[in-house]
Amino acid sequence: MVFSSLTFLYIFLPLCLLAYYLAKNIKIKNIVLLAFSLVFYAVGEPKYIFLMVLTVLVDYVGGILIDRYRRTGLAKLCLGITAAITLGFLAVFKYAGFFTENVNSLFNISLTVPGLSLPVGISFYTFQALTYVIDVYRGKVPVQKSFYKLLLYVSMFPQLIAGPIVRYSEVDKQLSERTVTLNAAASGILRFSIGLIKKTVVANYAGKLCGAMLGDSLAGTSSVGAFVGLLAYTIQIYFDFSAYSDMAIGLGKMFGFDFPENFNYPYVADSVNDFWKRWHMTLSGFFKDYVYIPLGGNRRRWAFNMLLVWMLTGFWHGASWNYIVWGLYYFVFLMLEKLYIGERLAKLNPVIKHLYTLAVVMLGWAFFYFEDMSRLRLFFKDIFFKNGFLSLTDKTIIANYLLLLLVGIVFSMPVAKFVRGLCFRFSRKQAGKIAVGVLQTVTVAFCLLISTACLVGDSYNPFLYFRF
Amino acid sequence: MAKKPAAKKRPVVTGKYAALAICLVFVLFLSFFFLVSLFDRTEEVSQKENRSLKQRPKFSMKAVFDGSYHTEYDEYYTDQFPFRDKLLDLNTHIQDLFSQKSSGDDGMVIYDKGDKDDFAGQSID
Repeated sequence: MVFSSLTFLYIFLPLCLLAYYLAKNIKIKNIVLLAFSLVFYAVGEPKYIFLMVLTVLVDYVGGILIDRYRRTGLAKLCLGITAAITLGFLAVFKYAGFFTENVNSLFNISLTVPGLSLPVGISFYTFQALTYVIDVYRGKVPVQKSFYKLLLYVSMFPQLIAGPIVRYSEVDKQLSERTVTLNAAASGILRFSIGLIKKTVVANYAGKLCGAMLGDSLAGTSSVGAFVGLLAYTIQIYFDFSAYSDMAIGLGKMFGFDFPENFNYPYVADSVNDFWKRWHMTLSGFFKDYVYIPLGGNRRRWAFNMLLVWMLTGFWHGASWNYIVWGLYYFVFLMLEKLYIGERLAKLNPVIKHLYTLAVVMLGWAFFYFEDMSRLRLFFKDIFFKNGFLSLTDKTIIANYLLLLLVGIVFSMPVAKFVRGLCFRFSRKQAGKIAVGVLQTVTVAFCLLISTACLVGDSYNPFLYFRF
Repeated sequence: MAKKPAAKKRPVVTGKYAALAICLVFVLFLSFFFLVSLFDRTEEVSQKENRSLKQRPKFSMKAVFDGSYHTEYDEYYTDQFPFRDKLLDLNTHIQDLFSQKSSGDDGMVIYDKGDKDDFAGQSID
């Protein structure tokens, strides 16, 4: 199931909220949330729900064994086995096809390529489950004796499918004890509604523009057309993914959970390093704390550690070479910044810093977008004037989407943050407080109405991050 | 690569009445469409779009397990959504604003690139 669907908004969510708020105590609330989460997953992926439950079971048992054999060599062994099985599922269901294809072409043999479809959300929930066993091993969190609570943590429907990657340590206490205040719930609703309109309007229309420019046939796309197509993709991927996080965080608040932030206006970063502190923060945080630092971090073989982490970051996004290239591309720029240009960059004019970062990021999205290398080559030919500077068709399309591009660019900047600041300031006075309250209420109604209209009228609305 | 802890932040909605109003709007919105679609009668044809609308899919365990039931139910629900025609009108306005696909300045229909072949005369009827 996806958030941006009418069945979610007007069947699943009302029933879930009703049951949740009718439930008397935290235990029943947890069970309600768990039951709805399993249904949420099952309607999209009826078969793979067993895989998810099995993953949690493995990590549940693993956690208990690690705790029992604490401070003996066995604890490490238990962690190793648990992590290997958990990652093994990911390897088989996400990467088996990729590996066999590559082995086949490398050795010129023909092993059967397993035709497994990708279980939705596996990349996200695998990492979540891992943070649990690893943190139990490290003694950072107490072992979870109750299976259903651990299952609830991993399968909770707001963050189940496309993040943010919530660490067990971040919600450990909330699983047993949490309260929802009226203001927190209202803030969650506001956040959710804004996420919904970001997805249904900005991301979806940007996706259409991108498809028109870089879709089926690249033949005939002019230079400006190709550039605008890439710009549209840049807008789409940010609004799509951050909208999902907004909705997840908002829903979390409605149920009394505090999920970590995932995006902090990544496109206003002033260096590539800064970009990765702002983009998909829970993923880079995971790789830092659970891969990079255990490998030795900055102290030992750091260049190698960086290389590995960025290869994995790329590979995590998809079982295809282009994602690995995309990861290595960032490795190169991060190394460059760290070793050579970082200090010089810091002294430059801010405009140049931002332009440099945006250029690197946008070019990166080209590697990300084209899974097929021959199409990537075609794209580069297009952008370098193969079909002229600007064709009439492209000009018309761009003119039609001008408002969308404007909205996408403006709201990639911290406009919302600025408005939020203003709201806090005005709220200190009584009159201002009323005005802000009215504005917020109207925003919620507006977002819901517009999004509903878009969903009724439009069938095109895949979440990009569903593929990962 | 930095990690932001999930800090307890103060709620964005500060006013008590504002919070109440927001929750009320949300609950009304959700329950309104939920209830109306529950009791709404199923239409067979859309006069507006000149096509037959999706009917309630047949329930079977097989369809549930291969996921097709959910897909078809989604289509059915969207086709039978309450105030569908009004919402479609609103959607057309949004479309005009953000992609202007319905008509160009001179009243000429402008297609996306996907339909461009028609202009070249390859598949024109």
